[in-house]
Amino acid sequence: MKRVIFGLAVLLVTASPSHADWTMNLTRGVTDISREIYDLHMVIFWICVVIGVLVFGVMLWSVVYHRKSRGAKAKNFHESLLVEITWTIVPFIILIGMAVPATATLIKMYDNTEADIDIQVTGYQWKWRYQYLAENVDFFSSLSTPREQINNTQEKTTDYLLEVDNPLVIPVGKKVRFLLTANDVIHSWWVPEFAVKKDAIPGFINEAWVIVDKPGVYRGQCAELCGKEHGFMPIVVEVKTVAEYESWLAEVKQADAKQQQAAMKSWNLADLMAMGEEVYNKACLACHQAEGEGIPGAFPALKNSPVALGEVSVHIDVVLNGKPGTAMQAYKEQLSAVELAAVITYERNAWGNKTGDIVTPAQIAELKE
Amino acid sequence: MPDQQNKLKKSDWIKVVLSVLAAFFGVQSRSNYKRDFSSNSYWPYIFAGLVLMLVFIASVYLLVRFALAYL
Ligand code: HEC
Ligand SMILES: [Cu+2]
Repeated sequence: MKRVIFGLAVLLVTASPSHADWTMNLTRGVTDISREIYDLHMVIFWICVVIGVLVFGVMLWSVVYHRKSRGAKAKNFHESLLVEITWTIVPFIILIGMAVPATATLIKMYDNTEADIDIQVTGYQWKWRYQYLAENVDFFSSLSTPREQINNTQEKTTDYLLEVDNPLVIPVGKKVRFLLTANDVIHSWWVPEFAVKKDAIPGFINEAWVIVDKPGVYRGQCAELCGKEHGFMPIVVEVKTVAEYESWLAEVKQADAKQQQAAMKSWNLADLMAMGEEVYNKACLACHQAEGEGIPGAFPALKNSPVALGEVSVHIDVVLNGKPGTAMQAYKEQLSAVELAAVITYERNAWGNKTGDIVTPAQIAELKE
Repeated sequence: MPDQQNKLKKSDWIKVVLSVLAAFFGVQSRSNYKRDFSSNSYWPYIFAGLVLMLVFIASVYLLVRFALAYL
């Protein structure tokens, strides 16, 4: 037994997890507010420690020094005004003492005025959408960890389940306000290093803000159980210098323009299939599964599905507009015309669905207008 | 309403107010409790309770105003 305990202890001490230097305490963070929260947390923690030591100290001391075998006799009195008043007033003073600095910080946290940049953050099952309100920049951010790592057929990397295709990018030193909402169910946008954890609720808009003072990459997760892939919708925020941020904005806008042009060029079946598979794996696989077999009772199979083999316009309509009231979302806004055309073409020609149909990006672009 | 109420003296009102404050606080001595429960009418206590509740609400309101202005 001793050996086992020793072995476990050695394991604990020497285990070097690939996810390096984790800590037990609250994150100190990279904003003024996050550090204030951290300091509050530490002050209150030490107050609790002192109270704990005092209370348990007195209790243990009494137990030991006034034990029966030493001839201690219990005092038989009922209610003491002095004691009752003391133990009401002392916690009151402690609580007020903690509330004063905490309130000061809370007031700052809720001061959403005078933001330099407004970004709408919308939670979807299971990804985030970021809209830069003044910039006409709008994109989705979804998990980029390969399925093979999730299914344990590939070595997991350091940022396992904490990496996305399109990170949120914000400039350093600017007040960025987030307007949080959701498209389907309640999500929660949580980045520990910003000390921001705010519910994203359909039909409501919650606000939060940050001024980050250090460029870097900060990661977070959805913090409200939101369905099957709740653990697979991470948040990645890249904080760049103002100049880098500006050039990133320009790049994104250019890429958007390029995509619109791509919709106009002509695509052949092979190109659409290749791209369609990529899109499918990223956006649809979670529910409809790798071989299009679906999950009976929850997500319909697309292999041999009457929709995927039937009338093209019906198929396009389901994917673009979704099925209200079900988990099937409207992908019209989430994917570009090319991606939509590719994934629909893919569904009509993969896994033995051999319709030979091609849905062109131009056709979809028209419907997206 | 019993007419003893009208006969409450100033010093009695102070006792009523102190008892209501003790109730807000949650601690009262046994002798005061016995004295209060042997009085003729509960109306002075209800009246003082309502007034002091309004005072309490007003002071919470002012406290919040103060906190927003100075913290
Ligand atoms: C969150 C889970 C989920 C995701 C992700 C998802 N779907 Fe669906 N899909 C559903 C559900 C649920 C239905 C059934 C809706 C209903 O009840 O009619 C459905 C139905 C469909 C249908 C109609 C199939 C039939 O036989 O009725 C098509 C086509 C389809 N989805 C395509 C897609 C495409 C393309 C994507 C990726 C861009 C996608 N789905 C992503 C859940 C999902
Ligand atoms: Cu979520």
